[in-house]
Amino acid sequence: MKRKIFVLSLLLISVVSSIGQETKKGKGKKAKKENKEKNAVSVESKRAAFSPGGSGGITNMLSNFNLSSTYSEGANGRIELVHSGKDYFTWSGFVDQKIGKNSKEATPIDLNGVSPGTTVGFGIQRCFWNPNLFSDADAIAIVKVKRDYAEKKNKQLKNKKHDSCCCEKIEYIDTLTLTIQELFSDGDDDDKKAILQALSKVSKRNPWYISLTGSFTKTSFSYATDSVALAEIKQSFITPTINASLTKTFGNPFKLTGYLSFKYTYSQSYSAADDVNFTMPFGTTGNFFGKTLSFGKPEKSTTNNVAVEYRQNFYGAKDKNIFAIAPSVTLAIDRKLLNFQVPFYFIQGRDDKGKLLNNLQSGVRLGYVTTTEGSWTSFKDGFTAQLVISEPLSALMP
Amino acid sequence: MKLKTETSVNGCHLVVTITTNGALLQRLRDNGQGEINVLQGVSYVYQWHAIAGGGGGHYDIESSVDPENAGFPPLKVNKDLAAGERADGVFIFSL
Repeated sequence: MKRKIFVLSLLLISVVSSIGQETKKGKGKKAKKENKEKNAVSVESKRAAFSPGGSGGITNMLSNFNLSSTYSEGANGRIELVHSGKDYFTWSGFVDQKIGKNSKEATPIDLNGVSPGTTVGFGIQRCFWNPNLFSDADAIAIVKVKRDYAEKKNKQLKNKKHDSCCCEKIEYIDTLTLTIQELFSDGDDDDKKAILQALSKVSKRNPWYISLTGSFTKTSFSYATDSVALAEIKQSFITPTINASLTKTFGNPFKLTGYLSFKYTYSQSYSAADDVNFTMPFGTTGNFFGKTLSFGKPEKSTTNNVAVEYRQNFYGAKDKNIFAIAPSVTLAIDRKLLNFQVPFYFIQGRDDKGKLLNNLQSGVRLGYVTTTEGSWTSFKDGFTAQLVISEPLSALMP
Repeated sequence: MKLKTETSVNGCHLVVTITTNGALLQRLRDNGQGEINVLQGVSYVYQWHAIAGGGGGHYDIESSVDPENAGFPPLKVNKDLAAGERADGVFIFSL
């Protein structure tokens, strides 16, 4: 395990150092730069790299130690290290590359350094969770219920063993390792009443989280600024993204069911001008040749967003996820826009084999976007209603 | 006698505590190791609380008394938790 940490640390250090080298390189190293451009991803993927979601965060915020890789053809490839220590601190490092539609593999780093379309990021998260303990009296009450339950169950299992002809191994109830939730799901009404009474006295059961992530994305552009010569200019940019969030979770005695999250995002990005097709005569031969180029320098934009999101899952019989709501308000400070979104999820997802998942992933989203300058946008112009199909909605992934 | 405890988690948070008469003797969080002195004739409350993240998780708790004592057989808890699921366990022991 330590070796894995060491190898990944070296990898991340080399990524960071290659970013530094990239910024120091002069224009004179033309040959090297051209070589890099050969590895550039398609125009589509360069644009996709500007997606705010591309900088990501800690994907599984509660992992202990996890080195993983994901790859989706025509979407992105990602390597991520997540580690949590003793005091509810979790840190992560990741390398993520957006790739073109026809790419069969992601190459975020090569001998020339970081490839265009690659994001390198780090994250740190602290959980604040200090649930009140069972008092001695509660512990005695719960232990009594557990003993009665185990006695009853083990007697039934013993009788079953006597009645059975085969010698199958029967696992008796172990009162030490039996959890309250396991007892509740299988206990009778009196057991459940005693358990709920004891659990109701345990407060501060829902954790808080503070998260901070930072990342850098490298993107490359080819463009022309001279409509006569159409000389192609190739340029790379490294842009930062910072996310900070504060999340309070909610739940019942058996699971977390939602959260309230405050999030701030700062990011910079460049976007290319639209592609233009040029057709010109080739000398005096009477032939023509064509060229497609973005005309004009890429445009830099800065994003300062503040968002509040509330997410709540509702469960039915047998813990079935039946309905979820995730209203959010986002203030885009630079764009001077206010965005209200109210998604309702009520359609279950299916896995690749067609099996129904317990997570909801489809529903309807109602939205309203208004400008913060002057009077608000009319409801007719600002309102949107969409059918959404997304990743399965989790109660815990802000 | 010494009571040794070791905890580890993946995809969840865990807190393990040992108290006597309401006084906290040990608290371990997530991936921890600890050792306390335990006395014969004293009653202790051993409890744990776990909570899983969005992708589900797994937790392990191992405790044993040295030298071995019938009042506290070696404890091994290895449980999986579904996304967002909680687990609370409690028992009382005396050596």
